[in-house]
Amino acid sequence: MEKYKRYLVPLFFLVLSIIGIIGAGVSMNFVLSELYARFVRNGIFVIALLIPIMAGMGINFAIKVGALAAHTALIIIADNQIYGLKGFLLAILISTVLSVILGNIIGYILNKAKGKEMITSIVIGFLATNLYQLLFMVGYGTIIKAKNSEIMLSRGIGLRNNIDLAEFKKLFDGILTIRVGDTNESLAPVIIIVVVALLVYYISGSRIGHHIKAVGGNINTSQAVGIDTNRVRRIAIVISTVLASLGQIMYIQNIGMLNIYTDHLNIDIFSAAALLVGGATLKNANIRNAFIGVLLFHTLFIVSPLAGQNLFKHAALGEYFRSFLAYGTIVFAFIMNLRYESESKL
Amino acid sequence: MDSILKVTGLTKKYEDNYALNKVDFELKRGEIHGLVGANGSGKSTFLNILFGNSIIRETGGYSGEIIIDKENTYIKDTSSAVELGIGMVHQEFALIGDLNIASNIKINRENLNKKTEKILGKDFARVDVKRNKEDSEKALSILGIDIDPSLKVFNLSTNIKQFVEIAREIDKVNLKILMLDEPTASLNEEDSKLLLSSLKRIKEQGSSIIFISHRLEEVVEICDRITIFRDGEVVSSYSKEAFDIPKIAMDMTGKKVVKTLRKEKDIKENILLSFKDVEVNYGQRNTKGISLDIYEGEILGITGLAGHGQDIFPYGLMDVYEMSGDVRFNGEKIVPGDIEDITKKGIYILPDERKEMGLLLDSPIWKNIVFSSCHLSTEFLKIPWFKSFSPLKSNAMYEHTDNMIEDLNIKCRDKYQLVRELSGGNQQKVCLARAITTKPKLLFVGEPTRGIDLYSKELILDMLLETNIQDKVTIVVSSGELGELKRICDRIVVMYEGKVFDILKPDDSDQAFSLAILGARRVDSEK
Repeated sequence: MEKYKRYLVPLFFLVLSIIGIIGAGVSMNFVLSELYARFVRNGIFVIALLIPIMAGMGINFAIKVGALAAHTALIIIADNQIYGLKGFLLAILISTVLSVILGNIIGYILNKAKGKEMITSIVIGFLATNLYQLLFMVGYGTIIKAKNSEIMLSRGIGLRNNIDLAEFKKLFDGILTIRVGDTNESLAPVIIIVVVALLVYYISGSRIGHHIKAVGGNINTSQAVGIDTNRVRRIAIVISTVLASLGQIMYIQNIGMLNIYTDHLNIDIFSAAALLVGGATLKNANIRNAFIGVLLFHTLFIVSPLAGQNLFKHAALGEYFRSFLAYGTIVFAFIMNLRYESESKL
Repeated sequence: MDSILKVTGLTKKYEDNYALNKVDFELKRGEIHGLVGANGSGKSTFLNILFGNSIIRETGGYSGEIIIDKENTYIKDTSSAVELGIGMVHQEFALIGDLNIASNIKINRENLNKKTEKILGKDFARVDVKRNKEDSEKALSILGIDIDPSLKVFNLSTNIKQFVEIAREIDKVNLKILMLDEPTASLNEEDSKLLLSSLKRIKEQGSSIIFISHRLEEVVEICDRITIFRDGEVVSSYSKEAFDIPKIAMDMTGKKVVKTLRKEKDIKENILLSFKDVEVNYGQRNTKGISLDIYEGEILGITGLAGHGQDIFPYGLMDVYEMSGDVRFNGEKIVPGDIEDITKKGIYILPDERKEMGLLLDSPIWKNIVFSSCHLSTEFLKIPWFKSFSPLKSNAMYEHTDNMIEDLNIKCRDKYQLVRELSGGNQQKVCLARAITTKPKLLFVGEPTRGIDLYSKELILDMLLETNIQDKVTIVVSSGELGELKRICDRIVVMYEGKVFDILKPDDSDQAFSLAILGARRVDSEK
């Protein structure tokens, strides 16, 4: 019985999803093809949350910063008009370098705020958003000169809201095509996500992974046996930030359009909610939780507006259900988590 | 024999106080060297310096010379201490509960897969779990322990945890000096013996050992030499031939220790608190049909082997363990777990895990001593009618704290010092002071003398007796220290497998006690 308790939350959401699918009255094919897109867009983000949780730092809401690094890289690519696979790989390279730098900074700050990592990471996310807006709304056109005038606002200062990256959307077309629901999709993004998952699995079994788990288990003890805990925690955040930037690139690749000022918003909340739906707690999370969570959370996300519309004859109500779902899940998981912790103390 | 460690003029200052003052110390190769001293005499500081504890660095480092294996060194942090071949077993367990035994033993010294190490570097190399397991088994077998190293540590009993911690140290290939800070404090007598004999085996393998313990009998038994600390200085040092317990005790305290002994008193069988057919759930265990009567005015001892349920009564009332059934206080039914109601009625519980459940570590001493009373009584309230919103009488609180510090001989800078900075024994005294301040009718105390030096031990036992007789507080002491219980208790309950196995008189023979503790029924002629 004890063993199955961990799956209580996923089971609850599975039942909700089934009710949602029936209530929405949509075909399985529709759900599947939507789910494919959302899995590709959100999968890596959820995986990016795993390592900070193992390190005992809770949910790293600062994955937003990784997304901003990806935006910056894509803007540079678009500005220089380097497209195709070359541009894609270059974007990944630039965003990775940026994420390593930013991840180190975030890790440094979170080490100063031990025990309050989650709230600190939320605020870091807000602050980073503001600095980013300053850079691209004001910096471009004044300090930085754009080579590609198409991305600029017509007044000459600041970037436009949207950058067209349709070039990237075609990137995986025709590679390992499979039929998902009603559409033909490429298997390549899924393979990338699986590779990332395997990478995280490998890291958790490596020396640094053992240290991350030790620090997550008890930071004082780890310090006492000679582990440089601050360094381990910083590395955990760097890995998380780098993965998040990769996640954002996958997200934008799938959409084919970059909304410079809005695409990164909410990904932290949605990813956290997805992971928690998968049965993770603030102290314990694994790859299985990530995958189960992404699938369940997004199924609900897809069907809840439609179900709302069907049941209450009101589309806006369905939209409301979405945000209710995301925030409600987090609170619910927090409570479940506290209960779990107080029980395991015995 | 040459020396492996030589310390000269070691000095450590915390602000204006000398924690250590010009300490000279020598550890010979292959010896077990005992360090004894009262609480706060500087033994732990001494070990902390040698092990490069970050507290030392953060408070300004140390001065003096440390020579290890003929090389003059400055120990700047834990990792450099480890590199120099120093291992330490901490007073409070330094194990990570979520990891398994093998990971704990090989922590920071994991066996790595050679191939991945070459490609990805040390940090990202794959850990060779199988070899970790083999090494762990080897280390544990030196200690005479046979256990599956893939078990998670938090499920283990206290004594096994202690052995795992020692196994971690002896697994180090370059281990030269092993330091143990009160390794036997949380062990019962059987396990202590096992531990002491394994220390001898470690010594035979060529490591030198520094051993701290408050149990002088143990120290005398296994050590080759003993150094005595008092107030941050080395007072004296003896080698095996000159061991003499009374003399060592005298050196430790500078005073003669008088052993506390209760006076015979008349206990009427007036039931104060009764448990009738109670059921207790804790961890995976479930015990039914526990009954116990506690008489008004007595000191009741509860003993037994670790894990046999010495602590079910206080923990059940506190809601740490799930308890249900008929519990009556003064004939009135109470609900186990409703801690607010229980404390209001006059039952105060001091658990044995003082750091986790008993203390506000980051608050000053005076606050720790009075904070329960501020909630429970009107003693320190300026306007009692305002209840929780009343301003407090600071002067009365400070005065009371000063009295307590003096009565219990709490070693501290002043009443404003943070409890975190006190040594373990002094923290225990603060706990006790708080309990006494609330003036309860019934006081539960868990392991009141664990980790406390023999002089302060008597003070605490004295304090318990005094509270019992003068303030008419009924006291229930759960402890593994049978000798102490026999000195202060009117009746002693022996627990076995979670149940009240027998209730003995303190003057019953040692044999009767040992049999009861091991769960053997005595012949019922005397009952």
